[in-house]
Amino acid sequence: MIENELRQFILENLLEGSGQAEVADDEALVATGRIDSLGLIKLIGHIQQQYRVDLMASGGPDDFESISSMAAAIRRHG
Amino acid sequence: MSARSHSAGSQTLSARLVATAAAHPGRLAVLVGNDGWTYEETYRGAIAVAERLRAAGIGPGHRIAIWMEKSQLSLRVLLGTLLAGAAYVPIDAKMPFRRAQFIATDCGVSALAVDTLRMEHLEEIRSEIPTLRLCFEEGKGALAALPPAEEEFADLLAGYPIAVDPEEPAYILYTSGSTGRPKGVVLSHRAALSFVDWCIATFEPEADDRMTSHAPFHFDLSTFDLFVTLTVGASVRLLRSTEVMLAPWLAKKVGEWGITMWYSVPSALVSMMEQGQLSAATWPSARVVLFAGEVFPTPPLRSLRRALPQARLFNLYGPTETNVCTYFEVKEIPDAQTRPIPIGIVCENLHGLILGDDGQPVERGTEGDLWIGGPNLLTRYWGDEELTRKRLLADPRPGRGDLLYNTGDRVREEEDGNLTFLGRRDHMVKVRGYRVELGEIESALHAHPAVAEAAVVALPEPDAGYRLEAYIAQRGATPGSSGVTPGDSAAPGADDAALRLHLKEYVPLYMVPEKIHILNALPRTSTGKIDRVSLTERSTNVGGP
Repeated sequence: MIENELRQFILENLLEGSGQAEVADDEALVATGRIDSLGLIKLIGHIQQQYRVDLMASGGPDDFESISSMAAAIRRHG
Repeated sequence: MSARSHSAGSQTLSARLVATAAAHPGRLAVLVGNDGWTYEETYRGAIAVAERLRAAGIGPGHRIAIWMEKSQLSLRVLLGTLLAGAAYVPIDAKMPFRRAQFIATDCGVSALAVDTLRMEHLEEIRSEIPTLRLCFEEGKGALAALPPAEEEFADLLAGYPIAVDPEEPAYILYTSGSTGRPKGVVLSHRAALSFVDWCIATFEPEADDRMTSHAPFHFDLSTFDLFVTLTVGASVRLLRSTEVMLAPWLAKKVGEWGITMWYSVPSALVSMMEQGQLSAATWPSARVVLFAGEVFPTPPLRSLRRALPQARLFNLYGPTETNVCTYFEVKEIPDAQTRPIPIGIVCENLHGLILGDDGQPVERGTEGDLWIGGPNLLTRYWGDEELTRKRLLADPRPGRGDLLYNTGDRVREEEDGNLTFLGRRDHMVKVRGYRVELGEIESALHAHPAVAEAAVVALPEPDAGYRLEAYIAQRGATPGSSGVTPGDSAAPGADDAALRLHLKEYVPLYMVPEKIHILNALPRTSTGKIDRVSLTERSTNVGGP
């Protein structure tokens, strides 16, 4: 499931060392600063590689609010 | 529309803002996302905050901390604070709780405003700040949706602003500098208006202009975005952090929104050019583009100049302590030019001196430290008399008694009267006995076509010299452009060896960094500048990348 795959990527690559073991589907990620602009770039690159969807070019700010919104955007564009 | 008509009889920032609101209540003032608010709606909200402050006995002589994401509500607190005669202290929303607490405690705030995402820290913060007597929380009280209007706007506004002397603080901006604790730069109403009036005279903003607010409220670029806009009766769109991070989306929207004046750090413009389409065709309304905060690398600046032929471009320079103090209008840049553009001439409302090591003015053409005097200057550093004394000195010329601020930057006046920025005093280091300007190496790196971003850090050696390491981000490393995804090993032409070879054509051997790290993007501070402290730490850490 897209949500779980994204969750795993985020926990392993963007939140490692943060002490956070879980990320809920609807948890605010960018707005809270949990993911910074570098993290966002990595995430966008991962989504492009994994799902062949370029959210940088076709996405808007609301798409990156949470895992749920990203998954929805991937399904919409993929 | 002359500067005079704006300034007649109003000597505080707050009085000027109220005068404009009274004159244009129905005009659009603020936009965020799909929402917009008129001057009347905006200031009714601000008055709700001001009334609450007054009821709590908070006004002139007090400070209000705003620890919120940029929004219509945080702007409401900002304006309400000014209306109540107090000073606002904006705290970076992304800052860790302990730092926010340090700032709020350091300047002894009487009130604190937080939004939902920062409310979890409220109880702890409340108990730790002895001077705190009032908290504003998103969605409650003065930060809730306003009840239907009862009083006439004109009547409501007539009670404001609470009068203060123009020398009173309007805001305190905390800057971190390169080391140590944040220091609070205290800026008065007089300083704010001096800058606003210079902008009005220089860029001629009109009520029909549409500005953006790219910079966070704790960055002094915001004083243009908010106060120039709201003084002339124009509108400003507040950009949220996710909007700011998505360069291609933003580049498209800025055109759609019909933005006429833009102000940001150079990197924001470079990102939009490289990842989106930024040209007269897609930004047809842009007529003034301002940038400040960092050197704008020449190759992308040349592209920007050509991409927006109908717009005037200006390089603005100035530390927080003086706001903008020099400026340069960018005309066509010859293809052969690799060196950065000048910082230009001292603003007409200020004066500048270039002093040598002996503290005396140097001859034209000789480099020295730039000192600035005039009404833009900070009043002091909050709680740091020693630093204030060190950075504010009396003009050394006979017969002059006014204070000058030491910018800490080295400059040289050229024959055409423009100032060349030579670098921060603390960016000039000795490597193997030779004096090196880090910016010069960065410029040379930028001359390589594969380099999108460059920063050189100097790491102290035991012999009191330094060694150099460079960090670059290669062009095309960010998704959305030329198909390279992060994690790819170095694109052709951008590996350590190639860059080293390239540098040797531009700088002497001792200026070639020992290591050149290639990243997908360089880390940035909350104001959008390259985070050199973080890069220095990276290089210092044993076993680091």
